[in-house]
Amino acid sequence: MEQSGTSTRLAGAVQGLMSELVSALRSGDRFRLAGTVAQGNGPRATADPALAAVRVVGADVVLPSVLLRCAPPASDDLTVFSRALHAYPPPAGAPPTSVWSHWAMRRALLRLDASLDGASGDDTEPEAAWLDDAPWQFLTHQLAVLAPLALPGEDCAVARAARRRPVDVARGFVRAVRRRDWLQAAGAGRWLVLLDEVPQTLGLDPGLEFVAQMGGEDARVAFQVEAAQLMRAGVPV
Amino acid sequence: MSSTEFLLDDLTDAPGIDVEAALDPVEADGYYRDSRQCAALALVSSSSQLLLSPPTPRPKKG
Amino acid sequence: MNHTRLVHHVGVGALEWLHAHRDGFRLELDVDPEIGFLERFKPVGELALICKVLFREGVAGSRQATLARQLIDHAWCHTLDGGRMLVRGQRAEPLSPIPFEVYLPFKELGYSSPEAERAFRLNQRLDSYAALEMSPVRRLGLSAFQRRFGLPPRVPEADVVGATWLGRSPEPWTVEGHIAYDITHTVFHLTDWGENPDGLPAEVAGYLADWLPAWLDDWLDLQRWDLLGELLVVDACLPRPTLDERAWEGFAAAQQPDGAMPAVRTMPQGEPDEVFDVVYHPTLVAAFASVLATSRALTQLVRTPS
Repeated sequence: MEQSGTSTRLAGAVQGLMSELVSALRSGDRFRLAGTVAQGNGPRATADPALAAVRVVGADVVLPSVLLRCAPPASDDLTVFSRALHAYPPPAGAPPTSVWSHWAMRRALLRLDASLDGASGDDTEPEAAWLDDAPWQFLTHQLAVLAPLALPGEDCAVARAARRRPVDVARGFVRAVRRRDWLQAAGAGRWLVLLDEVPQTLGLDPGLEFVAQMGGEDARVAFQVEAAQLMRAGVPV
Repeated sequence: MSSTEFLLDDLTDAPGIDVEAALDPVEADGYYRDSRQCAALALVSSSSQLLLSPPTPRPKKG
Repeated sequence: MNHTRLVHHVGVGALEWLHAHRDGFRLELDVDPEIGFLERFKPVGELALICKVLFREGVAGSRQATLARQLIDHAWCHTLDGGRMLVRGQRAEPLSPIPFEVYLPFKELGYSSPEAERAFRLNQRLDSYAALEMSPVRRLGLSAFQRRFGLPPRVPEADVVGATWLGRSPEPWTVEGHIAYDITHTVFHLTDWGENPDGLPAEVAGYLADWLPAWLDDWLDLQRWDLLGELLVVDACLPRPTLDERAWEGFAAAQQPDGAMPAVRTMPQGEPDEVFDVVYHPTLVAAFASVLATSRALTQLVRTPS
């Protein structure tokens, strides 16, 4: 599966992290981020992209506990999560996906432990106008990238944009499946389980299974489908 | 309950890791369909008719 | 209005090409029996269908009307030898529906072959003809043609719709090429080739309105012009056609300067006869889609309050 724009090492770290998270969603076992932190100024081994992977996965790192599939993260896990958040702030001029991803991470952290938020108290939402008149193809693609925002009861501007256009997101799902873009399909599917007025003829449930069957070797795909199916079943938040 | 550990390093500026690019991926081209099947179908369909079925087979003469 | 002009121009070009290449609509009198004499009737029938649509919708411009009339005259008088080829074809394959299906649009345009019609009326009475196993969409089309001819269909159309793929509203993300063509032909038959958009059951129209944009995007991306054109016809048959700008622009851009529409991606190479056999169908489809969409666009303009 093509992973455009990422190094192989980062992609590998993301796959590893996502695989663990899929297990956590399925088994309910607690997911641990904790590990060894290098001390001092000793000679550095090959750079480990693990922290970057946490940033890339973003708020989904804590989804297993958000969906009440397992116990809340331990405090040292939250410390790592917080470190990833602060290590990779969106640079000036960053695209909306980066800004929103960061915002989602920060909000997830605040919900778990407000004392860890070392940034300023500004938690206003980023702007969402870039989705307002987006063609349905682009809308779906961007929503899929921001799948971590697809949560039950979510009420941010991105979620509202999705809720306004359920048929368009459904079309985007169809298109992604036809293009064999399983990651986009999985992310779109996750949004669709939360939207009202999705045409019943879409066949979302077998569609999610199909996406998992065809694209599930990519742990990100497996994760998004698993998350979607859990939310579909009405897992409370 | 077993726990899953995920080892971390505190290096955040590792070379070759483009986090921002990963956060804003462009859509991949939709090359993934079998174009051979599609091309063949285009030729077949123009003969497989807007409207008409294949004629019934003729018995061989002689 | 610019969009309407683009849509209209596709049909103008297509008709010019069809007229210039009308000799390509030819029968093969010494054909291999394994292939069958009727094989080459299909393009002639399709040509007649499209000309019928052109006249029905009101071909814009006297030149297009002239070209279309010359085309259909050539097909009837020359290719079909005044209808005698249909008689001959039916005698070669007595149970084949093809001569009847070819004949109907000619009949509706004013041509007539009483001898051929005798054979068609007999076939309609045969149990075997009504029992011929064929796909639901094929049977739907045959029944629709019988109705239009004035013969009560032995298999009522209402009994068949539910058996078609489209009639069952399946998962839209499964639509590959074969299914897509079944969809388009079901719509053609339900609407009498765009003459009667109300022939689409409401659920079917709603289903198509939901998913057609995704399929248009799909085949545009794949540069499958033949199928894209048929889906643009479907769009024009909806209660509220979208006249999808992006799809039409891609479609128009694929058309050649001489009006030919390639089937897939670009024009094939080869002998003129070989190229004709590949290209005549998408070019007919282009004419069909253009005429219908132009007609709908003009209706929308009239209805839009100023």
